[in-house]
Amino acid sequence: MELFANLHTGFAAVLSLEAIGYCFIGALLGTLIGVLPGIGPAATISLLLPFTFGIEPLPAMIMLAGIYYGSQYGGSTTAILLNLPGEASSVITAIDGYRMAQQGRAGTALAIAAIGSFVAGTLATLVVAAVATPLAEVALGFGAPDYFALVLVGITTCIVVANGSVLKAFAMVALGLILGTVGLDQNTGIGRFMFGQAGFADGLSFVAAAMGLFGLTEIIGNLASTDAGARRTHKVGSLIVARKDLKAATPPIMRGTVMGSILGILPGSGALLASFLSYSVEKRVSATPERFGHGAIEGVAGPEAANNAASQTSFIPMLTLGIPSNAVMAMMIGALLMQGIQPGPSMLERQPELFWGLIASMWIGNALLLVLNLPLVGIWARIIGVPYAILYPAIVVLCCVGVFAISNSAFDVYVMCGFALLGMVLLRLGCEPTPLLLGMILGPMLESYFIRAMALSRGDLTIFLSRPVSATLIAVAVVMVVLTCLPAIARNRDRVLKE
Amino acid sequence: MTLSVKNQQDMGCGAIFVALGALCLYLGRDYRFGSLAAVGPGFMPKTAAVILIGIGLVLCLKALFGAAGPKIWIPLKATVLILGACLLFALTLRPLGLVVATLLTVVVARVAHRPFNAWRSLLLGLAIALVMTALFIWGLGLQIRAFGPVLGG
Repeated sequence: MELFANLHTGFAAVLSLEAIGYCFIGALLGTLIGVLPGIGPAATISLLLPFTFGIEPLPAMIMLAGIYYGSQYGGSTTAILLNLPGEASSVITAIDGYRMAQQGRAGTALAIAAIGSFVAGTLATLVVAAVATPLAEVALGFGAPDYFALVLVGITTCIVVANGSVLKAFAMVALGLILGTVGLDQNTGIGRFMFGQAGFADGLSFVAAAMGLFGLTEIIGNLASTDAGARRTHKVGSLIVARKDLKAATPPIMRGTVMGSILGILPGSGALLASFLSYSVEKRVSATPERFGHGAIEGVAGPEAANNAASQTSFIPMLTLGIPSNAVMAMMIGALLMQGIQPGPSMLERQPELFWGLIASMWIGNALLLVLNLPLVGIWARIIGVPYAILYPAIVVLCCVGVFAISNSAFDVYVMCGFALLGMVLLRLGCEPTPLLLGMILGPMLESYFIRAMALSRGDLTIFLSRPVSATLIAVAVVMVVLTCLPAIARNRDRVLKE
Repeated sequence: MTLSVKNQQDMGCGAIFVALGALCLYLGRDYRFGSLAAVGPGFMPKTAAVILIGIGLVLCLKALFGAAGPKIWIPLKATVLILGACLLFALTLRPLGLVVATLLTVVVARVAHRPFNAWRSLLLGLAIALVMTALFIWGLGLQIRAFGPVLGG
């Protein structure tokens, strides 16, 4: 069957000692940085990108895959041990995970998170392998209006899962769209909002924005809060998972995998949506829902599985369509472009061993993490236990050097500071930074596809509705927005997100 | 009838959105908006700016007539110090080199954390500078000097 032939190609390309070695280093570094409070996967990947520049494309991608999973796992670890989610989708894990840690069951929580993630990742890899080729073929028939609608869905999912008011999230996206226009306009060649600075020509640096909006703002927030000094890690305890815990965790893992696999494909915050949905479903389906919020293992197993499955399948739109699902995927695309690889339908045709090699390395990254991190969790816990007063200056310097390293210019450090200021002020006013970042990344695409669509239809807006694909996608986006605004769902959503 | 701001967050947000949107419209006033058939460079920014202003106004109204919300509080000291540390880094990196730039950045950043111990901060700065040099200059080959020209490097 073609599926297995493809997977075989991939694994053959990737199962060399050298490749696995790179994956291992990537996973190690990714977890190490990902475990640091305040540095989530997006910031982690941007910090470690320079490490992949000197290597060949395939090993570089494999290392990136390792970094990717490492950072995700690091984020889950801090969520469980410290109630400090490394990124948005670990927020759900923290709810019951941290409770379990407080009850002395941190080891079980971490183990189930790792196992659930691995199972979900394995199944999701099969999904990716199965879906990639047909989707790429379908995508070859996609036109500008369809791509536009796809990006629109991406933006909409981001607004829908944003913490806090939908109105503010919408505004943040709009702001992001505006910031995304800074630089030389692709279509006309004129400079927009550049103030005569050559440094703006390629637009505002994505890495600088991510570091400023997430890394630095987090540090400022931590310093300002009164308990910044005392960060107690709970004892990890035994990692051996009791049989009844495993039994209890299996159905949520299965359900979470399915949800995550499907939602991850949609551009946008699929992972967050998936873990959020998984938590709600598990609570609804459980015979004893009152345990949720107080250390229910299902509340960790399901969302973690969903999260990882979605993380895996979110490679699909990136690899087959060239559209980043989220901030992290945008970094991966950036990294691939640096290596001279253009993700998209043509990649499947022209460089199949690269394509399938990446998919295979995704699974290897997953496996390595399970093998690597469970024994090492004690070390990670100790790193987290290092006093914040020592960690945060290191993180500040790391951000500065990292941003500088990407483009060899101090200009971007200034950009990072600008974003930090903006992010900090807006955060205090109740606005989430993620929609802003995504607006910045997806904005240029949205504009470019819109212009092309309008050129095709000569200014006729109904082209979006007359094509089946774009019409369906736009309908999906509208339904999502309407559902979120309905009072019943709004209340439910606020309740879960506020926890 | 006296209007009082019930929700500071919404008011602050709304005001900033209106201001930013207006700023964008002003700065981009020369960018051609174009038409649907021939979209110009001003289309996207101006449309987004109008949306931003619209939402800003709605938020301001919500702030006056809606439910009450928490007070705003901006951590001024931490912000100034951390951002100042980064700016210092950017300014001193080329002339003074990685080691000194890191040292200065760490010390300034540490002031934000009470209690501030100058010697410990210096020590930490040196340790971090060493790690950064090893990692980025020796490990990754970053094109920056450990000790810059001003220091005779």
